[in-house]
Amino acid sequence: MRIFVLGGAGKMGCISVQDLAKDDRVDEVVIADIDVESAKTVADYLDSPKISVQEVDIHDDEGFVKALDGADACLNATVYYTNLQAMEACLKAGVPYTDMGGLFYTTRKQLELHDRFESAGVSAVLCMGSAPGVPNIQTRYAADRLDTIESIKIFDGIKPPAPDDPRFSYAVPTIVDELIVEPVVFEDGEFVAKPPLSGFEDYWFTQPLGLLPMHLSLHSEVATLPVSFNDKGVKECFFKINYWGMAKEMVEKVRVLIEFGFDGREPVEVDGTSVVPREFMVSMLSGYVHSITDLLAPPKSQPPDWTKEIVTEVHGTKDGEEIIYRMGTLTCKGALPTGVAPAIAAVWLAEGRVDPGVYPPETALDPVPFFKELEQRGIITQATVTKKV
Amino acid sequence: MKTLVLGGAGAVCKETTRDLAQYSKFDEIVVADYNLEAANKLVESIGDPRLKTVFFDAEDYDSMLKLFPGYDVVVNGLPWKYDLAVTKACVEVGVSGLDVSTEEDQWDYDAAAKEKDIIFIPGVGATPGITNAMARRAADQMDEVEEIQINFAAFRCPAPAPGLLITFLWEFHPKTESRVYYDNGEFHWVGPFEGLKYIDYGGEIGTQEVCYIPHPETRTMPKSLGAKKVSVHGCFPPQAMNLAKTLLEWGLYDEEPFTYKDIEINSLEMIHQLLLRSPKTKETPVWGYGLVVEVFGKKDGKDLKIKLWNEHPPMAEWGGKAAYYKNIAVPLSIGAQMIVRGDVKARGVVPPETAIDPSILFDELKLRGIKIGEQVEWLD
Repeated sequence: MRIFVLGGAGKMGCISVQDLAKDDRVDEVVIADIDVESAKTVADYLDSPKISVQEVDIHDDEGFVKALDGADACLNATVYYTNLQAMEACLKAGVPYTDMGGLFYTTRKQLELHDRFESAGVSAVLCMGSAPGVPNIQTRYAADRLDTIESIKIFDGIKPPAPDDPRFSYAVPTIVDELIVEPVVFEDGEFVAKPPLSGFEDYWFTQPLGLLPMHLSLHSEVATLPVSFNDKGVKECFFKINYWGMAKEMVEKVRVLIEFGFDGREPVEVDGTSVVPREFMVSMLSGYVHSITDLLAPPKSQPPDWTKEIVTEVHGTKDGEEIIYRMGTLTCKGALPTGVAPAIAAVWLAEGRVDPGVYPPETALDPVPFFKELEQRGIITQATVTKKV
Repeated sequence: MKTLVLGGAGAVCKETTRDLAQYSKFDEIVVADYNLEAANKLVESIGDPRLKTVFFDAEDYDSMLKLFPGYDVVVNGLPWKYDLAVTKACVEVGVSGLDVSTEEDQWDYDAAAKEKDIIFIPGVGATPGITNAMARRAADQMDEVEEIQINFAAFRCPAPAPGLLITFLWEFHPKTESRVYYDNGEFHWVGPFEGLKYIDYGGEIGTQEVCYIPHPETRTMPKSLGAKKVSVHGCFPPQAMNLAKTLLEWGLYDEEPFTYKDIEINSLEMIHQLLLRSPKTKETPVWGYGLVVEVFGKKDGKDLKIKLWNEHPPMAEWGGKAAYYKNIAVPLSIGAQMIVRGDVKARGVVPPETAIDPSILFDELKLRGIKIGEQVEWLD
């Protein structure tokens, strides 16, 4: 089995590469990246005979399609702007596709490719980062055990870093987008936009995470779950997170730059150079990320010293009885599920376990085996059922 | 009597032009500006027949030498980078002058200015300017001056004009060498956002957190007023302070070349250019200028503290941004009038606290609605 990891030298992609290289089902892992130097750093660090490096420029359509030749699945670990382009290439190459999310709107556009993928006999599972991804499959677990669903509430709780830790927890452009684009919630059966960083509530996570302040954020789970479980009568769905895994103080500092126009997308002429303020800001901040070696290092803590819990609360009924499923997926290394979840999806796609077409995780992947695979990597999922005595 | 107002149609100095038209007895007030259209428009809006305009390019030193002769005083309202050239030209042609900020090298022309029997006063705005007169007023009531603490709140947006954005960025630059305080014979360098304390400025500004700011008062007052300790603390509106702090904390003040789209650029220069284009840097909810000067010393062997502060009409009365600009522009106009009236006896290039009689300045400010409060406190 040959898995093609687009952006495999990136901060999340390298974790997928690491996981795939350790997977007995996988024979070859291709780090496909425009940044060959970083790709070699990842390959050298992981030191696996299964890993190879291939320079791929996603904007070179022909070269990209050619590079996909022979791959059994493509895992797109680049920033979500490339999703549609990468899917088109996979469609041409006839290679199954998965990615880490499309920040709501891109996901919706990707789902529109369903018929073309189905006709071509190519499978795709979208939104397989830890979130989105894990909450979708958590919801499916609960949905399979409920007759009706009233609400799906997702809380992504991450141990806050030190207040002066300026590092971004994942892709800088995605976090900037999450800060400025209005989150969408599903409320009384309608999709409604809310102000960024609104809807604060404190939520209890498994110790030692404890009580964390959660706020709304634009996320793809909200785009797909109310649609996938429409037949169960879903009325409410939202996604909340605590400052995207960053220190609140540092998020405020990104906000200041945004307020002063550094997120502008219109190019401005500066001394003969055309500058897009947003690109400049992202470039300037791109140094504030975790190093590859940090990301690939073993977790610094062991269970039960959890550093992240992804919780989905599904409120519904079974045989007329009100039931709440609280699904909690725990890890000691926050970035681990983000790399591992799409790696599992890529393997499943390569094994032909997903029908042709384009699917969100909740309709494509079977929850119990998926959680069992996560458990093999130290990522534990617990289901707590609350009902009247 | 004739005066030449350099940059007289600019953001700050147009208020100087207005003040000169309203209060001065000059026979001719010539607004010299690079933007002649703006100058003509301003003059037309004021409607005083004594006002004239002339095109002026501050980058052209020779044009200063041709333009300055024949005037009784040159009022320099240009960005601070032209202070030195204007001082030099004034001395060369023998015309008195004044400006609103201070370049250390201006003092080098003191002897030459004395020879020409002229006066040039750097820094006759709000601070330096009014604050120097406040310190002088307090020092005049003491036998010994122990310490002068100058505090200001410059409530304006970060980039009302290109020059004012440069000043704002420079004041918090980690490498600004002149961010010092003076203590017993030595100047001590401090970093940006150091020496934090709270000052109540009253009015619309209220209580604000201030930090050490590079300002000329620290340099001049140990000598001119014999102070053993001198410091200047200041602030801009909270959102502007937050911007400066954020730029600093993200390392964006770093002037090492940075690669963007395969081109090497200076990040601070890029930030300067982008901020100039950002609408957010042109707005702030409250415009005004808060000044609080506290002077500690001895009189007849007893310790005392004299505190002086300003009060000016609010934005609603003074017209928005003018509530900030007038605090700089009006002292500049008053200073020019004091020079031609003979109220300034000193000759050479001298700081405001030496040249300007605080009583005359404060009385003139009062006529325009700017009141200076004073409180004497004897210390146990």
